[in-house]
Amino acid sequence: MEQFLFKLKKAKEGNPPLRAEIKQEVRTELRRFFDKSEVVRVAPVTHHSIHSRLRTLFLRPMPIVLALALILSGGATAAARHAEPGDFLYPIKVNVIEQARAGLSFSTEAKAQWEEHRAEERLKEAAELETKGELNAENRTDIEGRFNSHVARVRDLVAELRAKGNTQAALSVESALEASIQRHLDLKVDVRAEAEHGNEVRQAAHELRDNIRDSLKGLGELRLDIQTDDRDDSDE
Amino acid sequence: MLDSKAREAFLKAYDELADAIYRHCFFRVYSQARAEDLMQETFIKVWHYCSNGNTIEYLKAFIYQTANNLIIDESRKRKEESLEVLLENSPASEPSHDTRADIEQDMLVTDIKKVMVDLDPETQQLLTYRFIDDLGPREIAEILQITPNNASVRISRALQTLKAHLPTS
Repeated sequence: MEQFLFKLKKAKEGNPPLRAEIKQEVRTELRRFFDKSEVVRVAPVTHHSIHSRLRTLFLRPMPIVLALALILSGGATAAARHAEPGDFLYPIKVNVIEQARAGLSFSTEAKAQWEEHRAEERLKEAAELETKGELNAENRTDIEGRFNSHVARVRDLVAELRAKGNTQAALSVESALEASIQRHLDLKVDVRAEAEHGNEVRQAAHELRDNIRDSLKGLGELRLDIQTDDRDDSDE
Repeated sequence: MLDSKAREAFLKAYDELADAIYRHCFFRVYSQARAEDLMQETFIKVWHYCSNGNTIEYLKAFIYQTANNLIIDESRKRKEESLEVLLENSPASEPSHDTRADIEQDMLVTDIKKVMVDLDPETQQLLTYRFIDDLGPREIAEILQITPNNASVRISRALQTLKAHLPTS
């Protein structure tokens, strides 16, 4: 045991310290956050001021930590987290809260996991709208566009992970995305609700399913590629 | 909102503890990038807690507690990863690992990781506090919100657990 504790001490002493640029970057963000913390007070939204508040939010570059306050603070932000396409707060959810959360991850793996989560979130929104009979061509196009861009981003990040030799992480993120899509495709269609909702909902739901089915096919091929990498690594 | 005095105190704590928190996180997750993420998230969470008007008696202890909670959350998310995968993701895949000293350091960290990841989270946590963070029983007691006596007992138990896990030579 003495030997192990000695190793521990040696490893501690020899381990590279926190990178100075990272330490400085986080410090700068914390300071900026203090200085601008009044902007965080956007949370308790009042209707007469919301437009000017939102304009301020979107026009300013969003420091990571400031944006995090939006994620963590209550009021409108909590409401925005549950917003659906078409809701007033939906742009806050996807352009501010989710974007800010994406900026909080330094590692490629964390970024990929977050993009996968965002893709899944789009599918949940679509399912929710479909259940409520509110899915239409407009919000379907919006969801589909965002979903496709999340999938494309996951693919880029998976490629980065593979390039770094982190095949297991690449496989794990890719499989999670495939599973999310499959779950959405497996959702039972409520025939009675479909009949009540009419053609528009049905049409939008089917088009969305067709689109994500294509994504699933592409991901299946990607998974096979990664598994081949993995096997090659094991053989070596 | 925090007044300017509190902000300065917080930044001072950051300056003093960022490296230690990073090191603590590194020796719990064995990844430079993840340790940097966790360090950042720790201070953001603590700041948020302070700015909501909450009072913290021992800031250092609270920062360590927060870091530990984040590490536990993260390890829950990653529990599906096997030991083999954890060991494969060695620090050598990270930047600036090409000199002989770096390689030796990587081997050392990998050796430690092999033993540590096999221990229960509490033992890992205690051993890291004691031997990586160099915290004494009193400080560990503050973090864990127990008595110093109890902290000493737990450290001693952690050492026994470690001993039982080490290969007998």
